[in-house]
Amino acid sequence: MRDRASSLVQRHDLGVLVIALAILAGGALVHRSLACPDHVSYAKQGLQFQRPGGWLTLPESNSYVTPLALGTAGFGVGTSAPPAPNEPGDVHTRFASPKDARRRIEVRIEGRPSYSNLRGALAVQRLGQYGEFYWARSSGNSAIAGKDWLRTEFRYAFKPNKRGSPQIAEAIEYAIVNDERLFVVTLHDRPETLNDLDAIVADSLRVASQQASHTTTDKAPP
Amino acid sequence: MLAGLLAFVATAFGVQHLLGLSAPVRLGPASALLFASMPALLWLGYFHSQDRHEPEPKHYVLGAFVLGAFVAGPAASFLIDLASGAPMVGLRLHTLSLDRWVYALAIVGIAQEGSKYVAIRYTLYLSPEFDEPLDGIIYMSATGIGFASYLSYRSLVADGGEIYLSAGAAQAVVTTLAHASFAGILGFAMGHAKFAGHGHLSRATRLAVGLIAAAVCSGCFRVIMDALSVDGLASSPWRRVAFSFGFAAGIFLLTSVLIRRLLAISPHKSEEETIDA
Repeated sequence: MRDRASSLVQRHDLGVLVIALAILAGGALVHRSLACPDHVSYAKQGLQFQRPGGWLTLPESNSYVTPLALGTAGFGVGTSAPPAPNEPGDVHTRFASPKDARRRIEVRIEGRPSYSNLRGALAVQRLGQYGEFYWARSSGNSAIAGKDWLRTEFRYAFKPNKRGSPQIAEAIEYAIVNDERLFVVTLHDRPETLNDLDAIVADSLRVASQQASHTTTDKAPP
Repeated sequence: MLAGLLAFVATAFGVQHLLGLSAPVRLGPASALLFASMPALLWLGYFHSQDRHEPEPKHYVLGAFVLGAFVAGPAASFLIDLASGAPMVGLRLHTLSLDRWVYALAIVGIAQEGSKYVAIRYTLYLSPEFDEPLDGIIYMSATGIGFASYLSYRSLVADGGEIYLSAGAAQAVVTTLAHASFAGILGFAMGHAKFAGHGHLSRATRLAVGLIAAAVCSGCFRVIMDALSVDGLASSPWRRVAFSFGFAAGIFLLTSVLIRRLLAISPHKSEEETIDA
């Protein structure tokens, strides 16, 4: 039996395949360790999370309208954006992958909305940002490090450029009200890679606890 | 054949300038297939014509081409996707960074050349028609040409199939030449391994060395081509074509030297000479 196996290996030069697969597997491991982006910390006003290193920090924007939505000029998306946050201390920061601008993390910190229903207030903001080409997939509370974050998955259509065909992007939004401040972290990505980005950010999402969170008492809009 | 290839590129160049096409042209699946297969068929004719003493059956050579396009191509893509890992893994921005070299040599090079190797080693290599060392280069080159057609087609239909006609035509010709030549090096090793007759270990060693040499050529081609195809934030398709042509021509010359050496020691040559005498 052993002779037969040995003969089979020799006759078909299976050793060559083993060598090739070993190089491929070794290369894959080395490549992963070299190319896997290091994570860096984001910390502002008590909000903390990990994000992929090497991403570009886009200029602070006063507008809620994302570049993706602006790329849909002609579709009317983004034209009905809500007023820009002008309060001192408000933050609207965006990080984008240098290789694919569709992969982005958006951070918004501002005063808590006057509308007491957080879920409804955020839904209105998203409608203003993405217009009729936005639709929510699911929304619910997600407990992360002892805090209840409002987690909303949604989709929206955009055009990557003027001549491009409309495409669908997916996003996951985490929101919480803490110390009368609204913290919103939105992850934008292709549908096939969004979960990987979510795994990095969501697991490390923290907000400094000084008062109780308010999201659990919010009700979904009708 | 070579004149046909030049005519193909010149036609694309002429059409682009006559029609004043300053923007990329959108190709449909059918026209992309035609665009990718034209240079492939011309190169196939060229390599087949090199087998002067006992030309291989055309349907076998065509079979090798089909194996390259429909077996080796998809298999290599699958292996590369598998080995590239999670989508968060991405290449660093520096075009000559270590991770790019590892990716090109150990993942892309081995997956591409290994797939071509498997496609022929367990099919035509076992055939009675594979009866002289030169046949390794002929069949593997045909596989490499089929493989390049698959790659060209995929790159043409990606991004909506938009290309600059002249640069796209030249790139298709050069990519086909490059993959035919890399596979030719591996084919040389396969032919040598089959007929050298020094035992299993020696044969396996020759095959492994041939595979690694082809993978190194393929990997270097990819890294340096990528590095030269961007100039700052701008893309330089003609710089990429010029470099790929230089690199591929170098490997092609090496393959041509190997073909001549094998033609000189071909067993069919001595048969012909005996018959002539």
